[in-house]
Amino acid sequence: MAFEPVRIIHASHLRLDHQLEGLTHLPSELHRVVEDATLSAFDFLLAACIDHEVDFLLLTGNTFDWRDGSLRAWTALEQGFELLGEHDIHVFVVPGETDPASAWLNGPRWPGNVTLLYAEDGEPVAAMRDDKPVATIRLLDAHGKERDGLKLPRGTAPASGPLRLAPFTIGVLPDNSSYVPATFMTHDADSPSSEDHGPTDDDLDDDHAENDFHSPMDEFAEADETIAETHSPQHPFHYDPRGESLDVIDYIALGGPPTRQTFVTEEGLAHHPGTTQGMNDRERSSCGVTLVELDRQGKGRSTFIPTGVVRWEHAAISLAVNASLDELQDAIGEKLRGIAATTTEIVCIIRWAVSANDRLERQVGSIEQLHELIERVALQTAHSGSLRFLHHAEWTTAGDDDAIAANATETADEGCSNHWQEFLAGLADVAGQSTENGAAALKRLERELGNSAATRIVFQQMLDAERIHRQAKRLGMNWFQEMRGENDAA
Amino acid sequence: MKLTHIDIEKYGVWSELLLPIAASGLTVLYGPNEAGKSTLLKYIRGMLYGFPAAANDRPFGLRKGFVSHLPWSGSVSVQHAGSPYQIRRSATSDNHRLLSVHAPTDRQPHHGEATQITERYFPPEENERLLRHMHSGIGEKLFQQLYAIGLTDLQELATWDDETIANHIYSLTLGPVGKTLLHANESLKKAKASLVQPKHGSRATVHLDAYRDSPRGGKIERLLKHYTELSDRLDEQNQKVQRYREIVAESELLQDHLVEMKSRRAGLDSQLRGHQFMDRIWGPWTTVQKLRREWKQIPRVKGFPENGLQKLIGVEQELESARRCRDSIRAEIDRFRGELKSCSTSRRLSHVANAVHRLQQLKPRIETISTNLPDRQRELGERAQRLQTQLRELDGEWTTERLCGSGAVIDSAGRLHETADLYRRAARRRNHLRQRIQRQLQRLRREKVRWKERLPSSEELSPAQGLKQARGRQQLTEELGDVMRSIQSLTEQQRWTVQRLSQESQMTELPAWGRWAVTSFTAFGAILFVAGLLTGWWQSALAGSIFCLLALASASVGHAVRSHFAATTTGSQDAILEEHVKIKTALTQLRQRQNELCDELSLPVLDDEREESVVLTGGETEKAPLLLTIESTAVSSDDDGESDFADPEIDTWELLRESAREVGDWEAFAEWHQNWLAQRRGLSELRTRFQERQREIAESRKAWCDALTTAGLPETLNVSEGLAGYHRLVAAAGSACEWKSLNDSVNKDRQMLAAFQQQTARIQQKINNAPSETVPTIIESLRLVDNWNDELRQMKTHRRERRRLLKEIRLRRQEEAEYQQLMHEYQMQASALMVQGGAANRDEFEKRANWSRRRTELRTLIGDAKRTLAEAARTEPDLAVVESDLEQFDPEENAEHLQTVQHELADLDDDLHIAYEELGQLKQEIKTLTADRTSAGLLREREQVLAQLREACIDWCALDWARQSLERVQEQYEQTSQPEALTFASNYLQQLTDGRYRRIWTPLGERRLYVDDAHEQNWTVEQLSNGTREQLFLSVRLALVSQLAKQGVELPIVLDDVLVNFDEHRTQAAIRLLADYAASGQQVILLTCHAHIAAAFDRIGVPSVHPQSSQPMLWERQAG
Repeated sequence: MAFEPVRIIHASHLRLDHQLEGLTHLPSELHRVVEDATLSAFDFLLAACIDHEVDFLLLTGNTFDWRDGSLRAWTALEQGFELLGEHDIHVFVVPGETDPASAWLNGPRWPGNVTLLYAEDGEPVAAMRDDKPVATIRLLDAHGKERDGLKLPRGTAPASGPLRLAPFTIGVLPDNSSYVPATFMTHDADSPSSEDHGPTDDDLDDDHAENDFHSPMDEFAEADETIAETHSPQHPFHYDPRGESLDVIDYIALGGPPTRQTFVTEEGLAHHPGTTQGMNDRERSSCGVTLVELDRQGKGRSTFIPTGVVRWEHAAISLAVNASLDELQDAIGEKLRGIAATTTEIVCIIRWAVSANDRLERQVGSIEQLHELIERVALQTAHSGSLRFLHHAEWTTAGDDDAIAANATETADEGCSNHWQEFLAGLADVAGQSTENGAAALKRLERELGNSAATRIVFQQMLDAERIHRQAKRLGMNWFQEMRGENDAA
Repeated sequence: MKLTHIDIEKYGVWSELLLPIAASGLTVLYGPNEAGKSTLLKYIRGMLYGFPAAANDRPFGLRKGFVSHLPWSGSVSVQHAGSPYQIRRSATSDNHRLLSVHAPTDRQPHHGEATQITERYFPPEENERLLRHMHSGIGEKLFQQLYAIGLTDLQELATWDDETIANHIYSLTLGPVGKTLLHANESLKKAKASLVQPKHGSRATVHLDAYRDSPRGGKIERLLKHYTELSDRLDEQNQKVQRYREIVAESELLQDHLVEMKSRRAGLDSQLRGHQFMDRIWGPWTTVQKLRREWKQIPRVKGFPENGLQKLIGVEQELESARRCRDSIRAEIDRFRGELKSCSTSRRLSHVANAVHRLQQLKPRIETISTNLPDRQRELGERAQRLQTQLRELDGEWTTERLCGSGAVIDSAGRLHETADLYRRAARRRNHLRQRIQRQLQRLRREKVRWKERLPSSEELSPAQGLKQARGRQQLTEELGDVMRSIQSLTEQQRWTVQRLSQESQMTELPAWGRWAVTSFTAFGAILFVAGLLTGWWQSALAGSIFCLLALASASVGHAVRSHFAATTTGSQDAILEEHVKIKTALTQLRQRQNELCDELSLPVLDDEREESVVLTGGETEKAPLLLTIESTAVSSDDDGESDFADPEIDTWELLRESAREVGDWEAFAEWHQNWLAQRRGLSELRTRFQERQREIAESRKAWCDALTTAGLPETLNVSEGLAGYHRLVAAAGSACEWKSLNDSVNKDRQMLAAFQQQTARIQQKINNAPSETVPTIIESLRLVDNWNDELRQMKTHRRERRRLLKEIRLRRQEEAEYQQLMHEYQMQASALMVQGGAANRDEFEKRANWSRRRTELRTLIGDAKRTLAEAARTEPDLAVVESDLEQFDPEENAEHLQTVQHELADLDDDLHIAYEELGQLKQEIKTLTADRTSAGLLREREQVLAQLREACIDWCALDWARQSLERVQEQYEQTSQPEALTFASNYLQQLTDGRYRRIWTPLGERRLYVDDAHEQNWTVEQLSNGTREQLFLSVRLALVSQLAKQGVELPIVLDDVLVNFDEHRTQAAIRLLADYAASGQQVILLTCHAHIAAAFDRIGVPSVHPQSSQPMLWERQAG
């Protein structure tokens, strides 16, 4: 069977003009870069669309955040869509959590090449080229169908022919929380099971991570029975055994949290391109969009195209008990060398979690001195490109808990040891009582500050209980180390 | 210090009161109200710490009017450090305060019998010091608060701020743990305060809005405020979004309106075009119609020549013009013929014109030659003479011809100069080398002579030998210096020993007073011995023995003094003598060595007689004293005490300098010698080069001689001479060539002048046509040539004018013929035109010509009008007009319509312009709004503030968790580490309250007391009943006193009715406690006015003392 070749770019979570989170301090020269990060990523996206001469751009949710009320986001979208229109590139927009359909409808007058897909208008739409349909796009839960039992009537496509009548079919699943792929053919490295998010650096060596897949049309035509046996009943897009025909979805555009995911299954490709620009340290590594191509043989390929300007990284260093300062520097250098920057990235924000022994901690000194050490090593480490680093370091352990007790015993001060143990036990009790990420403590703080709109906004998000526990323990450690020091002095 | 007696002479209500106090244990003083118990308490305080200083002060709260009872006086007896003391104080109305402390006495003082040892006016420092020692560091205030307590004082514990007491009560056992906990608490509070500033008042009422105007506050509050501000500003920014929406909507409306106006304008445009079209085509259409009517009225003329009338007029004009030209030409021909007759020429002169012309060409040259010829002939003679002179100066057979042919010789000048240069350079180099060798030789000779003068022995010795010899002498000189310094030192030692021996010999004998004393002792001993014998014999054996022993002792002392004196002196002299002999031996050896060295250094030998000797004479037995005679033959001290050896004859320093200088010279000489040898070697090389230069000069000399020979010059070694000969030869050759050339030129000029004269004569004969007998001179010839030349020029002019006139006449005749022909042709053309136009005469021809012209014009005008009409119709292809419309067309009405439409269009254009302007403004505003980055910056900043807030919240939560955990640790610590004083106080309180309250404790870092009851319930001091509070304070005081007693503080406790608020059980318990407490060694004085309390004490064996009745004969009740 011959296919009409299609080339699209799939992007998600553009969150235009939304500001990056969790940056406590930022050099003034980077203000503009950070403020324009999402818009710059959008520019790269537009450039990719034009360079690759795609048939259309598919935006699957959270293109902007209506709560920001950002004018810049609207104007950027308007101008970007007009630019794509000038290059005869259509745009299909699926609203998301932060950009509901109402926000789109209340927005400016969008150019004619923009099509909004939403529940009230849930009929499949066709993407045209030279007055011929090259793809159809449909919202999979547009009619309120259950995701775990999505039954799509199969079209009357012939098993073979010069050109498939039904073009390349794209199903958009705005929320992927319940998506469980039934049978994996291949699994992308940036799948949810992987610890790291986004494409790996190995993939980025050639700047474009690729996955091959086949359109399921041929597969279905040839091995319907086999697939029917192997598919899990929970799979969202398997054929209906009671139905008379099987609908085909070549590509499922996944929605949900901004995590890049790819499932190459026997049915086709289910993919979430992640975000175009990471917003916080949970959205790590390189971010970008996905170029999906389908050739005449029905062979498909997805390619990662980087767009992110600011990159988030997390570097955990855990050193041995007797590790030295040189080893710490080596470990930092190794981590830095392991970061392969893409062509679009300008800034890399690294959160360092350093776990070292008590002696090494004392040798390095305060957090500021640890920062200085990291920056010194970063300067010495030759890095490709002109990536600007911002470091946020933290000691993740406060030395050996038993060290104080042991030392106290040596100095015949059992009280000290007992008090330390009591402190730790008390801390554990407090942590145990504060079930929801420091909610109790936050409530106390809120009471102390008084109720106001600002406090409600600020305190609506929970805090990292583990970090609070770690910090409280560090405080205790400092006090009891002081006690130990006085013992030694005595 | 413990009180033993209270003795009041006069104080307050008391006078002449003597109270005995139990030094250890409990003393209960019982008296009714107003009996003076409190006065007694204050008296004790006053005696120990003094009465108030101001005269009008009432001591310790005594009633007003008390001052009038001054003076006061009294004393207390105390036991301090095992010794009794009496402290006495008195005060007078004139503000004199007296203090005295009695020294201890053997017997018990009776009333009024106190032995006053010292009594000084206040403040005597010694008394104060002694009293402070008794206080053991307890100040008056602390004594009042802790030891002398009334019921009111008891309640004041809670407000104590004395650091000593506070330290005992509130300081937990601050080991490292306690300090850490305290420090942790403090740092925790500070850290929390830095995050959230604690607010005063009800927390529930505190609102964040309160922070808006507050300049202070914790970090979180500041961040929240900043966050709120940023949110407010962002809200303002959101209004921009609203504005943007409005603008966009307005812009869209405006665009719609614009579309509508454009449409309307298009309609009006179309209407306007219609009217304009009608207006445009109506004019041409009317013209066409008018022209067509005229066309029809004019008769048609067939075959009339085109432009016939113009052609006829033209032909007639041409004919007239040709006629005028012909007449003019005939007049000119007549004028030319008259001019021709005046031009005629000479025939003979024209025949010799060419010869005259050649002579004229030669004339300037002939003039020049004839002018210069005499000078040139004179110059030729001079050159001939000079050449002859040069030929004579030349050596050899030189002639003018030979000189003119000697060009090759002159060309060899280059070689000659080259060989001369080579020869000269070789000679110069050789001479330079020779001078250099000579200079070096002279310099070496001078240096050698200088070194010979500086080191005469350098002739005999080589530099190495000389240097070795000099260094040897230097060593010997140094050794000689050392030896001489040793000799000098030993000489000084020798002189010193001599002096010591002299002094020792003087000290050998006892002084007169010594001998007298020894003798006295001996005599006294003898007398005592006799007295002892007599006493023993007559009175008592013991006394006698004593006298005898004293006698023996006296005699022994005398003998011992003498013996000791003699032995000491003898031993010292022996040691000095032995040392003197050693020095002498060493001196002898050193002098020998000195002489040897002088010999070796060829110095004069020193005099050996410089020697001193000490001769020992006298007996050498142990007992006999040594008698020394010191003979010094050579060692004689000068008056100024300096030895002769102090200035030795040999100046060793000078010798050393000389030897060092000699060594330096030899070293320099050795260095120079090496240099000299090197220069000698260089000189040999120069000589070799000199020989080479000699060879070079011989070769160049040969080449020079060969060059001279080749040039035909005589050989010579003098280069200058050779070159001068060559220059002379060259000069003579030049002169010969010049002479020859000048001679040839003069001959040529003479020949040319002769030829010119002959030619002139021949031409003159031809012109005159007669033979001439004489040849004209050069001047005449030149004049003739000028005359002929003038005549020839004039003849040439006439001839040219004649030719020109003939030519003109010929041309005019031709023109006359042409014009005649032309006139005929014009007449023929006019006749033909008349025939063609069908006219018989010229008037008729002219009328027919006008008809033809007008028809042609109308045809053209009609064509133009039709084209204009067609063009106007083409401008509006979509509009169609029919003939009837044009016939009915009213231009005025159309103009009115046109004006109306144009007005409407102008209005519409104005509206459009305004709309476009508005749209432009809106777009500009949209552009400004979209280009505004404020919101992005604010959002970014708000996110940053939010991140900082989260960090701060994490910090606060961590602090909160740590605080909770720390509280547990602190609780545990407070359980185990309370102050010792509170432990004692807890025991006392437990006894006082019959176990109802068991524990007194204080929290870490606070100055508060808590009491735990039997049910482990905590009570603050304020929550306790008055009685329990007094028991608590009494317990704490007793515990503190115990603590202080452990530290060595010994002061009595005086309690003034502190048990009155206790119930019966607790009173009993308190009495038992006080009894036990006193039994432990602490002096307790209890004052009470309650009989039951006194009775209760009686029951436990502590009898109460009634001041009024204890010694009635001594007391006198003054008041109360």
